Amino acid sequence: MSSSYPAGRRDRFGTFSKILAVGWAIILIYPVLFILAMSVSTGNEANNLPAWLVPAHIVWDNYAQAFSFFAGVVPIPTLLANSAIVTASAIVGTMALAILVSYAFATMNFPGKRLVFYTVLLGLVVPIPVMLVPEFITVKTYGLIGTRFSLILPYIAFGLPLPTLILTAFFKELPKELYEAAAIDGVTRLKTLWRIVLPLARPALATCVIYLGLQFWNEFSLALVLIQNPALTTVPLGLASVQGHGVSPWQLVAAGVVMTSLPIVILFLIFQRQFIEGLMRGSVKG
Amino acid sequence: MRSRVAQRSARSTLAVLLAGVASATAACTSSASQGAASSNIQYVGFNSAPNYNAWLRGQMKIFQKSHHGVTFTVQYTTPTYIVQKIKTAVAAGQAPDIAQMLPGAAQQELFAAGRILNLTPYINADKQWQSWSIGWSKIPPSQYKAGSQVFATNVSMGPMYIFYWKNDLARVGWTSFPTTIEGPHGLLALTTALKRAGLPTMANGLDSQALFNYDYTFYTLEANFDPGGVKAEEAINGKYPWTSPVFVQGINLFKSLYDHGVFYPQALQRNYDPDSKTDFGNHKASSAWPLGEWMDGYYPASAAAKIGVARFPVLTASSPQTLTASNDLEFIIPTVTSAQQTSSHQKLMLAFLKQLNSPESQQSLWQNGVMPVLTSAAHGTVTNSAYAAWAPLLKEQIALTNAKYAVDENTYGSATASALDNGLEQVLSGKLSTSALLQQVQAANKQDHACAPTCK
Amino acid sequence: MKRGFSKAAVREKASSYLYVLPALAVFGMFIAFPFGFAVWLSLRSWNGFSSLSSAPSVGFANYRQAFGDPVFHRALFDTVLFTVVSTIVQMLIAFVLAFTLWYFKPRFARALRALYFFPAVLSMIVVGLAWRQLLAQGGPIDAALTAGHLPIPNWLGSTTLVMWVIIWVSTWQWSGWTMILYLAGMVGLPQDVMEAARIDGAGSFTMMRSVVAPMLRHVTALALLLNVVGGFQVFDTIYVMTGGGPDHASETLGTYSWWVAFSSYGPGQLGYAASIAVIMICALFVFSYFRTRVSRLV
Repeated sequence: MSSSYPAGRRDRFGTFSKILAVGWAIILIYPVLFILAMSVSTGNEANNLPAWLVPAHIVWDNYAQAFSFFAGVVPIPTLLANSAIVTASAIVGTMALAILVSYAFATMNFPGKRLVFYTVLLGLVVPIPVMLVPEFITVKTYGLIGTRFSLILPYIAFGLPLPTLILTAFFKELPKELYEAAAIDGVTRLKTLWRIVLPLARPALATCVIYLGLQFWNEFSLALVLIQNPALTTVPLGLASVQGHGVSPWQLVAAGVVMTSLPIVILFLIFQRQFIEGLMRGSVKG
Repeated sequence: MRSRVAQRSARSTLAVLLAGVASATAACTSSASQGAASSNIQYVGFNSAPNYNAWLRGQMKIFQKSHHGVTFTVQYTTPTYIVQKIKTAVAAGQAPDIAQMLPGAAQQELFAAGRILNLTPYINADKQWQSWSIGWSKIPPSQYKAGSQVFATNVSMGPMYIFYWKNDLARVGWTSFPTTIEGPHGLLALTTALKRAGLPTMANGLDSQALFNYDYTFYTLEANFDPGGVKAEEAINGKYPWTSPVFVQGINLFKSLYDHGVFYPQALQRNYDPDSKTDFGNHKASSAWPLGEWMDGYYPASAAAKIGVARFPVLTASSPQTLTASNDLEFIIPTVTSAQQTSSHQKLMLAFLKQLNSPESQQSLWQNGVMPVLTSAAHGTVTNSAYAAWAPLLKEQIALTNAKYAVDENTYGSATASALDNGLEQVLSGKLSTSALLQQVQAANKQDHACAPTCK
Repeated sequence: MKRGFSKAAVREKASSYLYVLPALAVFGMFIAFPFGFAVWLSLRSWNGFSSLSSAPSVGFANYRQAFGDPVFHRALFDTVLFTVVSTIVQMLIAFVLAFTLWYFKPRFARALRALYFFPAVLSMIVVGLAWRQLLAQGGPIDAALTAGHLPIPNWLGSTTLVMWVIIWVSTWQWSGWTMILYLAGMVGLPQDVMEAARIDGAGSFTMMRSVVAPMLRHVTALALLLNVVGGFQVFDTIYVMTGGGPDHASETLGTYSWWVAFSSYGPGQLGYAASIAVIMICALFVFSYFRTRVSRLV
């Protein structure tokens, strides 16, 4: 928000857009308040909340109950830790590979370059839910069932395409003189990447990391079929596992949702400026 | 300047890399190594509620005392995802050692493909186990048998009942729920009386998102004309025409109940879960159908004494007694991997499943507020305060399971089920005639079984 | 550096492959190989339970079945409807919101910006569950409509309404993402053009429509690509809210493929499911290739 010219004057459209802005804000907040309200309601009330979302009786023990409910299945701290480990590892892996391959696409020429590029593009259009059986068979063939890598490696593969596109575009936009100057100075391509290009690419890198983080943290289908060991259960899987047969205790599920979403939301609130500005600076070039 | 920028970025990149390596190492070292010398039993189920969980863990502990070196890993998912999880695993040549499955086509296909153990010879050779499985006759056979071959053990029951508020009925002069539909003390008379007194009628969540609710109600009513649901079972399998009089009568009865107002006004829009349960709990209905014993925990303990349980009424006093029954916990033993095909492995799994059927285990279910399939095990005081208030109600339900016939809970042909359930909705809302519906169902049944209605 | 066929140049070309190899390896192992397997599977009939080697080859029968399958047609229609409508609506809302924040600079613009983006941070499953409960009979929306003496639509149970509800939920969750893209573009706009238009007396609407929008065409192109690809792949949201129902009214290619393979009410045919997946992936690939002319990047 660094434009330095004064704000546009308000006219009819201005009023309309202000109403839209406020209205949209309310529309976005309402479901969040709803989940919060469900999490402090009794079982019957949770399914019959009034339009203003305040239950007749506010109870706080849903959180304790949900926590012990989860503890009997997979404890919430374990869920969070597992998701964190898988997400962090997959991000590092994806970024490492994406950076290398984008740099190659942007600055080098080699036979088969177009083919490789389209192959990576194919990854963008392959959705996970229709590939469950093939993925499982693949992971099993490589002997990875039961390990965290059964998730991490496929995540890296599915995460590669978009960062590759973004970084390739970014690296290409850098002035040719930058590369040429480094070449003349005798700096190797790897060093050029490491010392010169990457520091400049911070916004684009941030975009990719945020995008990947959200994608990996919330991924469900692959986790469902690949995780065989309950000790490795991730957050989305853990949430699903407490919706039992016949009875869905929505007030407990809501409390569980709040507890497992809280870390991400807190992270977001603290870093939202960097988050968003990183996205903004990194997503679009000129 | 450049080098300083490079230094800073190098440091932060290094930090990131280190974090990544640390995570990856954590990933490596904390990955589970499957049990080497001792046996590990991998269990996958979808009943994660605290009472089921408590019972299961208790049984595992007991088993470990008599079988040293055995460990369990327990994974829960939801009924929606259990088929996906198991199917994907089996397709890749993998499977849990014991799985709680949903009754349905997937189990039948698993058995037909030889992927799960045929339990018949083992149960037949074990007189004790046989004596513990007498309650299984209350469960529709196709849920655990293919023909005469048993492929799943049944551990708990899940019959479907009417819950009703005793005071609502008392206010119009009924001391218990009617046992017949017609007659001066029947369901129709009760409905008229309730409406006159301004009281709500029966909650029944017929919303098409929960298609199977049409199943329960329809088959329960249809059984008045088709004792034991024999013809219904045949029709599902393409062996009997859907256009026969028994189904016409069943549908017309359903419609007449609906038109009379037996089901409360929102029945077509409400869902089985959670709408009918919460409506009943909030006194927006004087009764609710079909509810089961696992609904008990849905309401505060103080409500238990005010709730009564009943079977769905039959047409007249001479109509056959029916019960829409099912199992609630059933287990299969996959024989997918080479380890699972060894007799020593299978012996171990069989021993555990047999233990789950033992009177002690069944007693433990009772203590945890779950209906045992060996109903004789439901005796003694329930010590857990969370379930103690509900024990009398569970006892009543168990007494009611002494019905003469059981009716199938599920339909298995996807097209048939879809046509029947969606069509029933249209019949009730007056958009489709009974005969038109049955012709649609017959056509759909032909999609499921090309030889319908004369399959062998 | 000398180009051409000198030893150094050849070595340089060869080492280029080192940059590409790790990504290619992971990609090959976990996407190309399973995709190849899916294609192979689509030519076979398999229920997943019998052994894979015994699954009979049926040629293109699965594809023929798909083209004649009314549910497949419905799923295709729903997918296209969802993609087109949600893309357009999201981009419109995102653009107007971004313009509002950037041009009018309201108070709390930063907070609003974070709020608008926030739903994208939540898991699609959580969002689907939340909206499903919100719209459930007896829920708050229900109560609000009743209080206003308005009729209550059967949000998720009506075959005509359900897809629109799903489009709405997706729009609710993802508009903020696209908004950020537009904001980024607006922030980078040259100020002299803005000043000139303003001196000419352009009102805010004219500004938005005739000045800013054309200059952000490249953002629109990117947003279009991301939204279409994402829209085609929608799965979690629909699955959690309706499971593809009622009666396949909210089925998309992705959910239908899943239903065919895994649903208790479905045929359980993994080969057929694979063919649906392959059709979907090829269609998307063709779109991505042509629409964005991404080839310009290499």
